[in-house]
Amino acid sequence: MLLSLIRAFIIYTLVVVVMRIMGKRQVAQLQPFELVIALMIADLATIPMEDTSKPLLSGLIPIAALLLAGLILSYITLKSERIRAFVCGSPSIIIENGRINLDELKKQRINLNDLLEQLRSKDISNISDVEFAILETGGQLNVIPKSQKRPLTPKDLNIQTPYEGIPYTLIMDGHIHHKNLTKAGKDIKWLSKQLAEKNLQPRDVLIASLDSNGSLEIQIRERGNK
Amino acid sequence: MMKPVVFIVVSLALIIGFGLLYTSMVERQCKDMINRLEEVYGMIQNNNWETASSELRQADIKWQDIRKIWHAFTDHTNIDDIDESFVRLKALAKAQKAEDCLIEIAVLRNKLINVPARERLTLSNIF
Repeated sequence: MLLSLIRAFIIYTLVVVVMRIMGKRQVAQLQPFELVIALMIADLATIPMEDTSKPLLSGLIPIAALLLAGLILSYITLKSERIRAFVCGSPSIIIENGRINLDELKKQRINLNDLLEQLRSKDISNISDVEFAILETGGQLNVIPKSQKRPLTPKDLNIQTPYEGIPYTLIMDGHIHHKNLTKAGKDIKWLSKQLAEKNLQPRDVLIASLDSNGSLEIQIRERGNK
Repeated sequence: MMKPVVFIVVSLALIIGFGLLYTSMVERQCKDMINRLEEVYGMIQNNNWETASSELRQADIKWQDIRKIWHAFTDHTNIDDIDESFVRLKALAKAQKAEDCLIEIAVLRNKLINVPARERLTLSNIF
């Protein structure tokens, strides 16, 4: 029982590390070869976890091998466009200028109901409003509406907008983020002064962020939430 | 904030505590069974078949109690192996085949040593 517990912790940690090394893309959108690796890792991880008569290494070594295979294939697909097209496939244009490409739809084995459902999920109810609908290699459908149907942007109205940088989180859950403080060009003295003006200590703050205009937004941690 | 931490710590403590208790219980029960079998071994060597059969019956009754608990947490293959050995041993004792009985006792003893050895928390068992 204790063996299963420890083996489960070891394998779980290893799989988390492996998925982390595989990259962020892994979590969001899987390429076919990445999906295969994820499925195989899941299967390999469960066998030595539940069966203590099997050596743990018999699960760990294939997982490490799959990680290496995945990394090698990622590197190759990054470098070679030909191999990328072969391994990952290429995007398919499903709708072009408001017209469904039925051949491509059949080739991808997508029925009209699925296509309409996907379009509705992107707030498009009329196929004629679509300039392009592209089925990406990861399986998601990206829709580009016709120019007349796109949402209005400030550029369309010739309106100048100020630069909006990314706000820096300076305090999170009572802990000061010194790296962000340096990136924002501020120091601890400045932060202490800002907090002192509001009669606060860092531990009283749930989140404090500094936007590009230099305005510090502070949300105080409520009592009982510590 | 504290509630999940308490839950995790208590759950882990319970699992680890129960695991340690179970491991030591299996070890104790196996030791007891091995002692009984060694007694039977001595009796067969002395050609004392009547007492050996009676002691073997007692050992089997004890084993039937133990296996009920083991079924929940121990590999069923190990339990089935020990079951088979007991059946064979009882049949051989009934037929009073001394040599075969002694061999079967040695095999059964080895099986009983292996069960707690496999449950023990050691690096070789983990990996």
